[in-house]
Amino acid sequence: MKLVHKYGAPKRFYELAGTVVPWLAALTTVLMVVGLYLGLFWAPRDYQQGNAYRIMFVHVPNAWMSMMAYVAMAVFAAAGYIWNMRLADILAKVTAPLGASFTLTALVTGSLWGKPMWGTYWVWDARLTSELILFFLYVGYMALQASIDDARRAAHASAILAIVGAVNVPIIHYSVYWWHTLHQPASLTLTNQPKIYITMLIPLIMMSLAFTFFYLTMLCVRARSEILWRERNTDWVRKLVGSRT
Amino acid sequence: MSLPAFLQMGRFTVFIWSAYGFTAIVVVWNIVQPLIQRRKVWERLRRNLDDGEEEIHEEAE
Repeated sequence: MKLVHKYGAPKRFYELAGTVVPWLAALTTVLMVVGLYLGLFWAPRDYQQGNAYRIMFVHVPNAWMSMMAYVAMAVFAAAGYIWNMRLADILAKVTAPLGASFTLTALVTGSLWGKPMWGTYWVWDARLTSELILFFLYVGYMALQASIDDARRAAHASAILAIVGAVNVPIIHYSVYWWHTLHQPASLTLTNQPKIYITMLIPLIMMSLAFTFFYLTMLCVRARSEILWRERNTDWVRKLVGSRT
Repeated sequence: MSLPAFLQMGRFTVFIWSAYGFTAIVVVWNIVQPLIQRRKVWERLRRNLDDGEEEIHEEAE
């Protein structure tokens, strides 16, 4: 809790984020380059799917991040709502466009895999439909934020949407077990042996880490701009702007 | 492996490169958009500073 107070102040977060952004960006780039190399060159062809399975290396990380980002957004929104933390409000707001991007990418790459493999771009099965609803939740959250001028009221109203919408995340996750879906169940779980070969697993993990760090990098970049604007009437921002003109 | 051989992913070439291409576009947009936003915020903050102590009514996007 002490840490929260120390770095929970927007000013401190602005400085901290400024320090870590170059490192996060570098780490993201390395992971992305290595992941792409391993995924596109090193991993062997699949005996059933040919090369089409390589779409998984971008689809799965984006699908994971679409849900992780939503959980992060709901937690930030709840923290902002309950404890009146300005920083949490900001982090929730800037997570939304990133989460929406991950969701859209997961949907599009998924359907580009579905066409050659399933014979259709889209089916209204539980996994695909719940992921589409996730996209609408992000869009709705952003629209609500944009429609209320006062930052605090916008944060409060949209926090409720984010928290209620969080019910969709376990539905997405368990949809492949609860209903008969065309979408296959998870190949990777924390408790069981992976169901894919190590040569395919390593690039998948690299790409997932790359997208995780990409999220963290851009979260910091976006949050810094948002902090500056919201704190524009404070002394420290005035001083900062004054020193950089 | 030569480049054409690499680009030719068999029967599913179009789908594979469309998926990677779409992902790349979204990633690039996610880098460019926040950087443009950052520049806009700095420009507004500088302008506000020039305007002195009067109330600021401008809205950021």
